[in-house]
Amino acid sequence: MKKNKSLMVQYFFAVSLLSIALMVEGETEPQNNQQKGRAIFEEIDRRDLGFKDFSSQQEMVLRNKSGQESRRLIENTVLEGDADSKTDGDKTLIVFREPKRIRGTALITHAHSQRDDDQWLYLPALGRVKRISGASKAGSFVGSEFSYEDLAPQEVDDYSYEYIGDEYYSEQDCFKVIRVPKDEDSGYTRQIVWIDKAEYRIQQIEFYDRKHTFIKKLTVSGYQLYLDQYWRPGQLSMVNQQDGKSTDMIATNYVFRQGLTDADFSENSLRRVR
Amino acid sequence: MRIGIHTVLFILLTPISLTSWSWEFEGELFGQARYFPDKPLHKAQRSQSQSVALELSAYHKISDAISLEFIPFYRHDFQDDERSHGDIRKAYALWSSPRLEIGAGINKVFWGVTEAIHLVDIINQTDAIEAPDQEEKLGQAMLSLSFPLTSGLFDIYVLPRFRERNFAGDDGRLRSSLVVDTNNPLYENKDKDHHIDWAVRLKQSLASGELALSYFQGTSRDPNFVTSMGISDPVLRPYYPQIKQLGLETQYIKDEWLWKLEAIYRKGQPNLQFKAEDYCSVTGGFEYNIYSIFDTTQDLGIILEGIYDQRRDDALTFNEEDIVLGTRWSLNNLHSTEVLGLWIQDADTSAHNFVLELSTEFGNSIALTIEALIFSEQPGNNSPDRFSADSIGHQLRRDDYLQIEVGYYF
Repeated sequence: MKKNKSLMVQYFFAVSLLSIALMVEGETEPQNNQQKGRAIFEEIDRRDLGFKDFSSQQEMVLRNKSGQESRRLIENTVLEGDADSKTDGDKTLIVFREPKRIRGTALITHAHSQRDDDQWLYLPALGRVKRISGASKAGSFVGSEFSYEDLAPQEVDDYSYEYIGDEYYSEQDCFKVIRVPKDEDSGYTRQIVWIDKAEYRIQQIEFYDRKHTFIKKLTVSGYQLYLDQYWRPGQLSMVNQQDGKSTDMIATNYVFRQGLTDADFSENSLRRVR
Repeated sequence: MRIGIHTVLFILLTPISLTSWSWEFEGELFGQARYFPDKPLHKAQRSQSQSVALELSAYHKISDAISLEFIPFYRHDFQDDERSHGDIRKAYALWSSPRLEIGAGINKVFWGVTEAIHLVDIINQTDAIEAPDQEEKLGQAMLSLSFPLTSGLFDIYVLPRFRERNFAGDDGRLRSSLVVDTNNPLYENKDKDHHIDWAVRLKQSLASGELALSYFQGTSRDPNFVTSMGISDPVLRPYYPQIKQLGLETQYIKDEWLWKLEAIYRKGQPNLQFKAEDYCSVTGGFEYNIYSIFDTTQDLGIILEGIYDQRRDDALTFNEEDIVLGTRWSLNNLHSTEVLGLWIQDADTSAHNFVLELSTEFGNSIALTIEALIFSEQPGNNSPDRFSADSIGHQLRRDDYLQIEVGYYF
């Protein structure tokens, strides 16, 4: 009896250990590729938690296929959304500096995962704050190859995912994940994303438009680490695969944690923007 | 020693800005030419006009809470002396905290949601000789208090000094048959342009829209006119009554659609026949945007708005019962080229006017705008013995014009 009991205990322990092992396994290696894809993006999201706010200056160089160039200069400020909120995401403020004709024009976006984003545009010449339709995702951002949705804050729930394998990209071991936008207003049917396994940074994205055509390719480079935790890119290059146009976006002057609050991203604050 | 504007500003502002001396200076210089193809109605008028304009801007942040802004403007017109004019668009100090903002000085405040006609917008006087579209405004002296609410804003304005509307002179185009005598305005109130006007506005943002209510009491920005004998010819003297105006602005957003409505109720403004008539006026419609048209990066925006003024033929404007169709085509090319078209159709006559505007940029600092305005389809009213709202537009029937403007931004 005593021996039996001891066996029982051993058996119980073994089962427990096994189930713990299975649980651990379940967390790190999801059973299917959808879960694994999503887990990779949850990890990207988790690693970026707690940045609070940051701003940067972005120079955009637009090129057409004959090599003519045009410049845009913008300042971009991001306020981290409440991590517990299921509906509200990050808030962003974009202020245009060049071309000088539109300097001082500012755009505030409040990202939402369940409904369209809220957007307000400030037109300094008229002193007018104009509500604009948040469904404008697919539109070109100031004539560049970037659309509003390419630059908008990304929420994990904005897409469904599928992990499709590993691949080396730019000498880095990467996950390759397909993500499909849930929003019907998106200009894309799917995106193939390369994420490096070492630091979970997006390295490259291939965009497929509504007709399933491979339309644009984004490459991200010049990552730098801020506050020992947050990776931010130095350059994003978007190349249109159909018409040869391209836009380089060079980001500089990252500043984190200026102590910004919701009030700095409110519709009212637009009138004070410089 | 050469004393420039920097020196003057330095002396004026040294006491408050010793610790952080950093003014931002910007400017815009415009050369403008207008060509009027039709033979003018009045003999002093020419078929062309040229003008230059300069707007400077100085901005200084004293601390996170306090900022100063100064924007003077001047246009010199080589044909019309009345169109040569200067204005302080802004000379404004703003103190802001999370619960309260206090502003003092000359500033510009815009109210409204619609695109074609701005009914509710009343704080600033229209700079009518700058452009006939009523989008240009004169600086207004004010003391303002703003209280940010959870998702809204409550504003109080005290407006101590009234600005008269400006009008084209004898030799200027785009004028009424009789010249407006801007030197001899009439006021209902004995304090004339020193009457202290005031306004409040409560604005609330909603999940998929917004709502604002406003109230204004004081000197009407829209003049009536009184015919009187001038030095040699009869002239129109502007008359500014005391009014009370209740305003409503609302907007509803659904996908790419923006539905808009503005309405006012105004007491105290005589109608076109100079009879007391309280009235309502409403404008509303939608804005719809199509992105990436024809599989390109080009965007197309469409507006359709209606205007209804309860005074109808006795309204002070020829946009008294109109339908407006507008489009904005953004090519999203390297030069940020945009084409704007606006068709304003009178609902009960065949009268219409048409605006076509093309704008494009060259590099960082230069922009070109070409604008065509067609007023010629203004047949006037059916009973010529009675001056009606439709007659107002009829006076502009020879003033179609093509305008080319080059702007240099520095």
